[in-house]
Amino acid sequence: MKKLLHSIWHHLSIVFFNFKLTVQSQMEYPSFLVGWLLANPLQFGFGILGIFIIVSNFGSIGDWGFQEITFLYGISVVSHGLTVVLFIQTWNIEYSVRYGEFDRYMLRPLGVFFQMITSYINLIGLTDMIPGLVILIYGCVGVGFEPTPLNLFKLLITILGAVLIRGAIYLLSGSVAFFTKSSGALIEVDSKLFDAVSMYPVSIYPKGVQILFTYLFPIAFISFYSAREFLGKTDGLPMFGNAYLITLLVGALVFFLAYLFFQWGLSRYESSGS
Amino acid sequence: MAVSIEAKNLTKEFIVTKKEPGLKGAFKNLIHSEKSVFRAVNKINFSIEEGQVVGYIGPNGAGKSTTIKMMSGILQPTSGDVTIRGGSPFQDRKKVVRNLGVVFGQRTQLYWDLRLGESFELLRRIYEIDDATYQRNLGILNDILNIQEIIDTPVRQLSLGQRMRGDLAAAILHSPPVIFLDEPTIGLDVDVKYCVRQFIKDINDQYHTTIILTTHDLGDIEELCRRIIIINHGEIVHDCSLETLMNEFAPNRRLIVDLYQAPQEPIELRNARVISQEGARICLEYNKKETSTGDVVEAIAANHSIQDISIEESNIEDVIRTIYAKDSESA
Amino acid sequence: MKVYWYIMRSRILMTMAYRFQVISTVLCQIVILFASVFFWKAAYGLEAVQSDTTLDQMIHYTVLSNLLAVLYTTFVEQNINQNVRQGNVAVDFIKPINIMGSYFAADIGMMIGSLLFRFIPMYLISGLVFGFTLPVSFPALMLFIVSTFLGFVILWCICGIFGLFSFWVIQLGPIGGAKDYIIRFLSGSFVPIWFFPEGIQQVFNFLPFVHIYQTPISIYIGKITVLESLFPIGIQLFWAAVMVLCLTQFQKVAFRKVVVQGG
Repeated sequence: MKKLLHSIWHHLSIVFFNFKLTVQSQMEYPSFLVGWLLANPLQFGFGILGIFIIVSNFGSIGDWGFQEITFLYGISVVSHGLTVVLFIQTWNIEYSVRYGEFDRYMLRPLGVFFQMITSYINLIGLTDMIPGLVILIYGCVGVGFEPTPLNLFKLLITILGAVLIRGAIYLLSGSVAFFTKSSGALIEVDSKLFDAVSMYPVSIYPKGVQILFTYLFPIAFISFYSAREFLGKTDGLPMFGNAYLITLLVGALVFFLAYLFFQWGLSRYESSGS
Repeated sequence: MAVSIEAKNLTKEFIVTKKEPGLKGAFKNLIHSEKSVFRAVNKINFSIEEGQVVGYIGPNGAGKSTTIKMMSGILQPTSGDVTIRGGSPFQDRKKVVRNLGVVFGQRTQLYWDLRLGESFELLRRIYEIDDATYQRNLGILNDILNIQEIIDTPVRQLSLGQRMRGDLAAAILHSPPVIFLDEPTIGLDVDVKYCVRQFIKDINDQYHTTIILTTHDLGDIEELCRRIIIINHGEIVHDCSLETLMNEFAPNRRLIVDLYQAPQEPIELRNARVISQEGARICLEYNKKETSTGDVVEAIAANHSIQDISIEESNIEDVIRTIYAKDSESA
Repeated sequence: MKVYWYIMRSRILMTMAYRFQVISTVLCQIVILFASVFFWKAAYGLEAVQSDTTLDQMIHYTVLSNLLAVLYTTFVEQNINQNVRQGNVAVDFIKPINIMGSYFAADIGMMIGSLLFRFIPMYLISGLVFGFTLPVSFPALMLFIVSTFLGFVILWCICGIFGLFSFWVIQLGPIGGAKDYIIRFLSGSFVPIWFFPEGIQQVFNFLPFVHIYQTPISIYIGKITVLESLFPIGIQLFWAAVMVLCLTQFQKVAFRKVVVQGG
């Protein structure tokens, strides 16, 4: 017990110190922060504006009105922002494999995954959270979301699950580089998939696609099932139980699987570029 | 003496993909590319005792770095075993690397964007070095490597020599009993090279640290290593003391004699071979074990008057080159 | 001329150097393509919605827009930025070629490579799923090609001008992304301008952006007739000329800065 506590404290102290260092080094490039503060709101702002223009021409997308989509979109962007804060290092696995960057982690008496993830906690990712929160709050107000403690808890659990799902799939894709040296633009494919499946209601897609993204690559859980439950809608695949809990469970499960895959890949690491 | 490092049939294979050149090749690669197995390290065996400084040398691509990486837990051996103080660096990585300090001359382990001191602080937390040890080690490092001078500079602004000093310091902050140095003097100027060698000597003297050193600079070997292991094409071709190696491959010594008067006839000696004779200068060669220099000099002095003599020891670089060349022929 | 040809050829080779990269970028664009098609299908819904554009037209519009996006990849901005950052600009001055010309050749090479390895596979895949998108007539196809090229020139110049800012701000970073989002939105690449409120449409039609995506696509799918298209192509020509002029002038200013301050 004492050993475990010590280990947790040891790891935490490294997380804090790394965090401090990362903030310091990010502050060395202030123009980047400004750039992201400009780019991210534009990206999501235009995204939602496009949807607004279409809905005002057609009335709805599938069964979903503009406010409802905003709510869904908001969950998606907020979970994206958090993922980018916590798991951005998964995007660099390919680079690290190609240039032998894992050497450094492997020489230290700590878990490689732990070191990789915590060595860059990307505060800049918070710039995604700003438009995300604005859109989500607008959506919440629009659909009459009651901010009771229970509802807020459910929302939080949903977002947590969504972050785990996103992180897991990035981790999975990045780890492909251990086997092929190059994971190509898989990470980008993921991002595009996340956008396509979590920013619009999944029910607009054919049933086969819905099944694919629910049972095989559970991206649909990022926002759709929980949002549907909050809004009392019934379109799309049937689901039993509480969507927010399932989201968290699915998130934990795929993350664990992705972690195993990463470890397997790591055992085949070749430390190239000597 | 306790065994510190032991390799048994240690082997590492890589799969290499061949890429064909040109437009046609690019199309071919798009569909299918040929793969082949390359054995970088082939069943090597050695055992290194605590406190030894071992030079691990070989031509480029011989498998030096691959061996070092297997010993430090970075690469998983294809087959065979290596143990560091009884532990396997791959199965028991976290435990084993606690006892390891590793420096790659080609690639820094420091954090690019941070001040050197911050890298140290991070390492201090990772290895849980207590205050007293940390301060003491920093003090020692400062004496040898003059760390204080560069501790507040971001790593990316350090010169190569400064960076190497930083890397060496970072590798021993946690007082590891075993250190691997992969080309620690590469690209360094004479001053820093001297400093690095001094550092290695001091660490070995004071802490009885086991050190494996790969290098292309044979000056490093001459000054630091009593034992050398030569690897070529993934196999160990020699594992012995520097002296044994020199005796085996360079048994001869050269003597250059300047006489007062150029001799009329070619000189012939019973105990040494004449290599050249130009005017009053004669160059002789003889086996340094069988014949003493004094005897040779005496033999010449018997008939000629000697003005000056100089002795040329055979050069370690020539020896190594001979070994590499011989090995390539047989391969 | 030989040099530019060589640059172009090497860039074509580069587009297929990494098998994995080729597959995954095609996949990326396919995902967006599918998502937007289904999005439009959902917007049109089951019952026929009152709109000047039919669902079929809209699907072809979306497919084409995504296909164009693959062709419209420009690296001029990154190239300039990288050269400035690494201090290679001075070296570029010594070379006996037009730097901008070499970047243009490289991007045209990229475009040809993309046409072979991205555009065609995507065209086939989307065709098999949603039906092949064919031009309304042969003249329309010809005008489409002309219009696409003009659109590319406009886009390329905007990116080039943007890249030249590297001479003042060393790290462009995410600001480049911001520019992309603005262009994508204003060009009607996802939502055609004709769905926008009337007043905004009037303004947008005279800006260069619509003429990057919407004009060539509209010609191809017959949203505007060959005769009607002459006016927007005229505007395209005008903007392309203006952009080229701006780029060359701005380039002179930027390069003069290097001469004065050193690379």
